Amino acid sequence: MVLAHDRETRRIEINEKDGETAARAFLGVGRREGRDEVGDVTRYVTRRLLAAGAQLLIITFVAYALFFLIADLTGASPAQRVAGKGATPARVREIAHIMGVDRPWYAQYVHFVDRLARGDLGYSFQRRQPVSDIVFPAAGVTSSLVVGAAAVWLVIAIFVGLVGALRPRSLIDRVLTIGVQTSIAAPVFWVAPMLSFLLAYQPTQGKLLGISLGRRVDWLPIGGYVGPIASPLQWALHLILPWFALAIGFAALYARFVRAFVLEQFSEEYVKTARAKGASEWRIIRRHIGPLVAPAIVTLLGLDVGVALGGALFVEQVFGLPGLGYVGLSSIQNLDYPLTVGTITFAALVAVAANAAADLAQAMLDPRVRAG
Amino acid sequence: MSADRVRKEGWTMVKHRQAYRSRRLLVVSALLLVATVVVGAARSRPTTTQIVSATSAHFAVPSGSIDHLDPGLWYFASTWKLSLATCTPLLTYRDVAGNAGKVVVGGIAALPKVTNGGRTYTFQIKPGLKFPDGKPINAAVEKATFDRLFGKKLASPAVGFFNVITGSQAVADGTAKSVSGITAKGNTLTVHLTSPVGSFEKRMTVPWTCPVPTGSPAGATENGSLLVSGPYVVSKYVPDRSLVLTRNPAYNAKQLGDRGHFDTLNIDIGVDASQAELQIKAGQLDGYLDRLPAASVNQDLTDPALKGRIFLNPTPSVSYLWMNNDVAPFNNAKVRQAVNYAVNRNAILRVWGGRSQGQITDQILPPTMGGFHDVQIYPANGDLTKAKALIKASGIKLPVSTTLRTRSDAPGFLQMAQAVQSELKAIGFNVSIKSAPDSVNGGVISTRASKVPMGINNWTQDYPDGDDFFLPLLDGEKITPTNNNNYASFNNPSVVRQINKNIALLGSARDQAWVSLDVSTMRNFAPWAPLNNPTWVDLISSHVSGYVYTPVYGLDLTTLRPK
Repeated sequence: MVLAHDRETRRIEINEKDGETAARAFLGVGRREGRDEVGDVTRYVTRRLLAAGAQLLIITFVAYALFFLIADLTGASPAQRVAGKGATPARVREIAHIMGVDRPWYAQYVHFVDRLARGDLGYSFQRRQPVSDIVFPAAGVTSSLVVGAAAVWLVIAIFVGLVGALRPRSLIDRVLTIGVQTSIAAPVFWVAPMLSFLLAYQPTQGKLLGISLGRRVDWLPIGGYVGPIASPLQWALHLILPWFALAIGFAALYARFVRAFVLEQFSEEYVKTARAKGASEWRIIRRHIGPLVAPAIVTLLGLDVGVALGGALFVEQVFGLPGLGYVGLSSIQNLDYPLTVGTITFAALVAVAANAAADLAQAMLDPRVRAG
Repeated sequence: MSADRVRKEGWTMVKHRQAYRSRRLLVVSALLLVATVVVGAARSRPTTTQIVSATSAHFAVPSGSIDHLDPGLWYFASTWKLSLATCTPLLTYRDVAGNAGKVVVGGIAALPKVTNGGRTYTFQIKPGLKFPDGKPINAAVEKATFDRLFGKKLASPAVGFFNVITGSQAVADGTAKSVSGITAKGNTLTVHLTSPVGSFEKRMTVPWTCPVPTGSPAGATENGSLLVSGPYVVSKYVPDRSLVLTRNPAYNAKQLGDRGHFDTLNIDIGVDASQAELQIKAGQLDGYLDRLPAASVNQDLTDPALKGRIFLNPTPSVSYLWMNNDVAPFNNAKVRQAVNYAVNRNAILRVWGGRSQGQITDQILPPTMGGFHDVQIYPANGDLTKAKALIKASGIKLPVSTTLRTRSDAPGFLQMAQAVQSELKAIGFNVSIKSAPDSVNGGVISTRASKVPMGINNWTQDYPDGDDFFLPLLDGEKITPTNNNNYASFNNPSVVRQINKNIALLGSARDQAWVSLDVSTMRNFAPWAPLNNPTWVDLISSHVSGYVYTPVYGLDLTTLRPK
């Protein structure tokens, strides 16, 4: 009888092309029987979804508690804000009752959870429309921004990371490392207006990075947003700078990770074996190291979606994108707490879902995870 | 070399060549794609930021600039600026700059006939005025507009301005449905007042008096459908995102003036001031309806390329440090005077943004007010010796620990607070600063029980009259427990008496009386330390002409024309 591990190792010897098998062999995990695997995945998915639900409840509870704590400490009154400066105290009380903000905060929270369970995010005090009517279109804008930025940062990171790993300590590696360090140090609230000024505004004045273009060029808009259905080209043009503004910092972090990971793998036995069998560096990366780095990147990506939503707030503000960050900020300024909590809930839902999706994807890519 | 080997190597070469060709094809395709996008990008101009046609203009405002689109509720300066384009009040001002722009002229109605010792105003609604649905605008419509304004369901801020109309309070209290002091017959609207008010005509110019169709909902209508009496109507409104105004087909230019020269006004909501400034200079935006950043403005003012496109104007507003008369030691007039001597107004103006952003003042009324004359009551650079002497004379114990509240969501306020904090240290005051967005800060300081010792705020007139400063801000009889605008809780019987005397005055005697009260109040009681009168900078694109800065509402959207 041949042990799974031995069997898989032998398969490597037989066929070095099978990268997935090589990865499994490296991890010491063989393919299990289909029936067990389905059970594992079901258990894992259930566990993960329950955890996601609990996370969501905690986040909304904390958001609610904080909002009311701050309002209590500062004396801010949403009803007074809605009533306007000319309203009498009696009118403010009346509006507070209509809005339901005269009840204890925990009672309001229970009401909120009850509504949330039925898919109702509430009603905006300031805009006088259902929160979902505001949050969903905004979420579309933020998704355009975050997903696009993630694609940009992955492409940059993989390219820069691999170049650095393939030519370690070379001139190009050193230049890229300096670029990476600089990008990590550059905050998004500085990068965004600089990109807008240098690459969108200056060309309209006939300059690019201080060099004369000879004529005015309107190639990228300074701000604003166009929906992808209205005009896919304008949608992309309006988002190019926001994507890069949001992606630069992440790209640098990911590039550093990819470079370190790939370099580490180059010294592993299975890579040496593949090299000995005549596989090119590119093939080793594509077929052997790639399947190993993918789960790690997917995990990072899942975690970073939440972080990117925070960064998106600045980018949306600078480029005038009507996304979740913009909506959330404006709702806080207007003490519109159904909208604030609705935005936080939705953003939390996205972050939690992204985490869960990343975990599930990782489980698909990495059998050790689903085995618990 | 065997034949097999040759065949094998030959096949390998073919495979390599094929791979090379397909790689080359891929690279060429990618380059073509990139070139197409770049060329397309360079040729096409973005739809959101482009001047769509010769008769379309494109403006922007920051997030939260539009408080309401119901003409009974709006109160923000930015929405009143839009009112010039979207509605016509009962009375109005000419669309011109300078003092001529402060003269009241007919709006929906001609100037009224005043009888009964200033207690009865008879307005003639102009003939031939219609709403877009073809229904006439007559006296009954205007009366219904006032009945709606006072209704409990609307909770309009207008109530405090118009409660001098007989029977208005009963409607506001819910004991009557119609204002008994307003009668309508054909095109004649008669308004009876409980007592004469010299500024009543000016009060009738505020955009709350814009007529709304009979049968309009009693509660708030925020989709802009009630803005139907100006040269433009709201054709699309996405809250906090965009507003599109198109020509009002029923607008009677013969009666109401040839106003509005673009077919469409597009207004983007939520545009950052710094980005807006770049977009205007790049020709992607025609103007910004809010404050532009001070640092950029200072540069732009000296840019020869922007000559004729950048305008610096005085505003009818005052930024002031108020001191709460309910709270020690500011319940002592000598302490308040000492603070006025201690602050260096020039230094505070520098942190506010410099000379392009305002001019220093030690008076309550702004220089734009009729009859204003500049009286130097307190030294511009401060006088610490005099301040210390007054503190000594006040008998208070030093050091004093106190708190100053201001807003954090508008540039300049926190910086002014820090300058005041540093200057008051010299007279033994340890000031701690608390800042919060206006939505929070405003609620705290307008609640009298909060007993906030000091704060920095700004007040902009609703109409050009002294009573719009003294009544809401410094009349002790108008202090309310909540929603109080008299943050200083200043209640001086002699000042209240003088306010009540001034209210009935008319013409230049009235203007002089307010200016005298301003000077005497600041000299003797110093409820505030007025700091500066902010200026306003407008930057417009090279696509538009006809810029007019009206002294009441600022940039006039109805005078702009395509170039």
